[in-house]
Amino acid sequence: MKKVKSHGLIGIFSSLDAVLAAIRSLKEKGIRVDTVYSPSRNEELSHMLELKSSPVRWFTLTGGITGILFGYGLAAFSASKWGFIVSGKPPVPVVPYVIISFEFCILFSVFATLLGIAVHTRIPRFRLPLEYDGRFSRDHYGVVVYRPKEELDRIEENFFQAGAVEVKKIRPELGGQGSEVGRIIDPEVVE
Amino acid sequence: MELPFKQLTYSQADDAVLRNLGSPTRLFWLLALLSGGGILFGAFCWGYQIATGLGSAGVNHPVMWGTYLINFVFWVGIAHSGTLISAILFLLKARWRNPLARAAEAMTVFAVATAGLFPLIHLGRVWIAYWILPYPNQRDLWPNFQSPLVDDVVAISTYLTVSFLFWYTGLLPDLATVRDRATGLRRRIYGFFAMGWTGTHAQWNHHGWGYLLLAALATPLVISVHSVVSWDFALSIVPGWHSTIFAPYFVAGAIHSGLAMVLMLLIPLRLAFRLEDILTNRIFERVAQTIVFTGLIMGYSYATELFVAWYSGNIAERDIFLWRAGGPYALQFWIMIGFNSVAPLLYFFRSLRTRLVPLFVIAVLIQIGMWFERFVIILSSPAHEFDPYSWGRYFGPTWVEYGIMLGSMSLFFFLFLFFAKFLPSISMSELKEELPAPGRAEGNGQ
Amino acid sequence: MTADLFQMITPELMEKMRAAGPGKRPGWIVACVLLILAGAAAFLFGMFGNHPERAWQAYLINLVFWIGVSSGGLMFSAVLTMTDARWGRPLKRLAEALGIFLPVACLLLGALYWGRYHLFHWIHNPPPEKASWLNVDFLFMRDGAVMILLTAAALAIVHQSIRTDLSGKADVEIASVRAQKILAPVYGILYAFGLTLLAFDLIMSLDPHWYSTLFGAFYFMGSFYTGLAALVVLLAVGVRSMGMATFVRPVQHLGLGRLLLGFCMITGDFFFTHILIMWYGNLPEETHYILARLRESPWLPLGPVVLVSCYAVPFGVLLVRRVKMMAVPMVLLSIVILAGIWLERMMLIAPATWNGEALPLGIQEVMITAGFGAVVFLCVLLFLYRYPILPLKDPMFLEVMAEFEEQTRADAHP
Repeated sequence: MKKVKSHGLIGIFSSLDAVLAAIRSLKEKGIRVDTVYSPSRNEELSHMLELKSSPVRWFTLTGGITGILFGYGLAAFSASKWGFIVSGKPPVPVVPYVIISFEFCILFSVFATLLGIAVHTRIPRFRLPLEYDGRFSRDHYGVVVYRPKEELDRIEENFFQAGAVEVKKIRPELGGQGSEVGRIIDPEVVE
Repeated sequence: MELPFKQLTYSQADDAVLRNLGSPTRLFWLLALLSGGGILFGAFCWGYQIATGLGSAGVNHPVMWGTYLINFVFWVGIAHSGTLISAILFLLKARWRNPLARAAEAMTVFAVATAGLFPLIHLGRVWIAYWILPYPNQRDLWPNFQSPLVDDVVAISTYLTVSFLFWYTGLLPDLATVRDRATGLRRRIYGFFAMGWTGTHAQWNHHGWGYLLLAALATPLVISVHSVVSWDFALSIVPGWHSTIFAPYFVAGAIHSGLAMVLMLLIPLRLAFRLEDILTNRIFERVAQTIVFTGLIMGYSYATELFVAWYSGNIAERDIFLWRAGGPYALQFWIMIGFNSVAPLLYFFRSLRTRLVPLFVIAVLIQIGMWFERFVIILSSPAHEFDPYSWGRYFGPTWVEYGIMLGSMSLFFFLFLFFAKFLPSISMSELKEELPAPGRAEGNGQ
Repeated sequence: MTADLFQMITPELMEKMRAAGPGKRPGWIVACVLLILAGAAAFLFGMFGNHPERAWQAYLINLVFWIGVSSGGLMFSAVLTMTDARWGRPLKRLAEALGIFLPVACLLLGALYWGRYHLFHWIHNPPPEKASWLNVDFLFMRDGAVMILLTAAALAIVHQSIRTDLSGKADVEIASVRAQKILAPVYGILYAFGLTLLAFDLIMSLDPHWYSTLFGAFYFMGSFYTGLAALVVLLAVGVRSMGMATFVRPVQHLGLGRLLLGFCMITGDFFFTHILIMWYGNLPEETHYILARLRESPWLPLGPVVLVSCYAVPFGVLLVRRVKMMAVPMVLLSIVILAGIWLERMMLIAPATWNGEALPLGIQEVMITAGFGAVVFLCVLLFLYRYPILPLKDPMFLEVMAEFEEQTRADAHP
């Protein structure tokens, strides 16, 4: 729900090559791309944006280790309460408790992974951002940049040169709250 | 490389999937009513059993486990190939898995949910089922974590949780697609469940990594869960049960029956929703080829068990196999061998694995065979153990069990029906990863 | 393959691919021959010494180990064919080269006949209920038959694979691809059933009172695991010294590493299953076998070493993505895995034949193992002298190479 503070542009593209060209031209000018919307994962896009490996896997690892310790700990704790010796086996054996440790390892890893995804993607959130356009989930791409007002015209020209079908301006003085789900407040549309 | 499905554009793919999410039809309500009725009848039977006792289910000395365990193992087994398709084939980068993944994962979630009911159903005093959980209590009693049955509780609940979360994580981008196309109340509902997904590059990056990690975690989970289920039997010393091969044998059997169920669900789905361009014959052919593989593993397991039973020289072991093959359960035994290891070999013939009718029919045979396999394993061994004085037979299945079986199948079907109607049964976002990007389709553009 | 991609396979590229190979390496051949002679000498010395059973058990351990490596390596090629997998195609011929040891293995299996009295105690004390199965003639006949069938299928696959590279005619190409599609599952079935039989007869029967239904699967899964590890080593040698460097990209190393991780887990799971079932059952007829190998001296150190080197260390190391693309760590890890599985085979076989107080692991075993290894490597080398190291006319291999070329050109001119 970030309040839109500065001016920006949303370039809407209907082909992958166009959006790649647009991002390339921005990179050449040293302009930071804020967000790129796409209907699916795309290797070329990720490559162009130089995305780093996600740190979610560290969450997973932590969860996994915690799970192993918890699983074995729970089983060992409950066995040690009464300390039965059955068939000459030790009261707190290792062999069967591998299974419990393993299951809790997976369970906690999964929870931790989801926590990692939630933290990094910042979902759940219940208001769609102002920049979002419904076409992005279908077959269009979006490039959002936030720059001072003076640079916007030039960037807009770049977008259209690359092949944008539409460019929207983001104006903070229009309110700037993220839109509620179901009602997207359209910023001023530029031809 | 040639795609196993038609090269649609992104919007064509969306349309093909989304046009089926319209208002429910009369056929839908009819099926919902029928399956709902089945569930209610099953619930009635269960209620009757709670009031009367487990004797009404034919459970007695010496066979303490009846059709409830058969159905439990059956449904858990079916669940496994859903995870195989969505997680394992994802890791192996098999492209033909893509259109099947979402429906297969849904099948997994619903099958595990159905399976999870059975350990409760087969309890005599189901109202104290919570005693199996580890919570501090006044008598200082704890579950025995050495017992494979307690391991089962942990494994199945983990599997239900993980497969649900994996399914939901994969659904998020598709829910956003549905949200963006819907209006009014539907938009708000789908929007709520889409959790504000917008498809930014950061979201795709983290989500992608997360999905990969979940797939990598779900894979060993699949193998371990059905191994734990198999160890419910193998960790005993009962002849016919105490065998080291049970874990991979059950896992292969689970995938075998699950893939057959995938065919049984998705062939009707393709016909009902007119999804020929996405759920192509080529994809079903790949499923059939995998079934040949699992069928061969089943054949290998049967042959090995039979041989080692003889080789062991253990008279109880030798006798249980002779009794299974020639005794009162001989029919079920030979159905098991024939339908599970011989029938799948028919898929070696190209004409039988590329046409919908033989695909479906052979899948049904496999499903029946796998049910009878659990029947033979679970009912024959306790009936014919070491001491001839203790030999007996199972008294069922009784009408209560038939009713509960009907209820469980209705429950599974009911859940899948609602899934198919209200949620995208093909993963649009994953499909788009394989389809040519907008502006790049060969021939006609957008 | 599309027309655009097809253009990437220029005649120059084909020539470069054809030229890849070990080249003239007399030094390697001499080294192999010397190791073979040394191994044979060590074996004969042991055989005519005070403890011939020690020499024969080393022979048997190596025989089952290297049959596993060889047939498991070839299995990789069969799996590629059956699954239409693409990433592994550059490695296909290397995998097939590993299978060339199988005919030699048939002869070595036959030679085992002379050591039967030292290895198969059921000859001296036949268990009556198994006498129809455990007798010398039947055992060698069926194992010989199985090895011959397996070898025949393996050689048929190799033959079909190299046929096209040599002939260059389009209809031969199509016929050979189709033939391989049929032979691959046939080989797979023979592999599973055949290696199971070998495991039951050559390893499990050494203690005729013990049995395990999973034992055969444990052997052939472990063998596939060793085949993959051997392929990693062979690939590293291929990239370094046999001119494969331009044709192998990180994706191949990554894929092989991932497969290695997967089969590490599967084999480890089978290992654990054995222990789990027998721990719970607590039946003396089963536990005596495990206890003899894990609790009694002189075998005590083997168990932990096997656990760590075959499963624990590879699992931890292979989880890291970057490691899979680094040649030296992967080769070291693969050697650790191979050594670990060798020790595991020893752990299964030796306690049944060796009665001494000390662990029978010394110079004799090292030299015999080196001799066997040299035989396998010599087979690979002589094969690669005659035939191309890359599956030149395999259609999917050409697709992969075309895509590599396309990528190279795209990277050069963004």
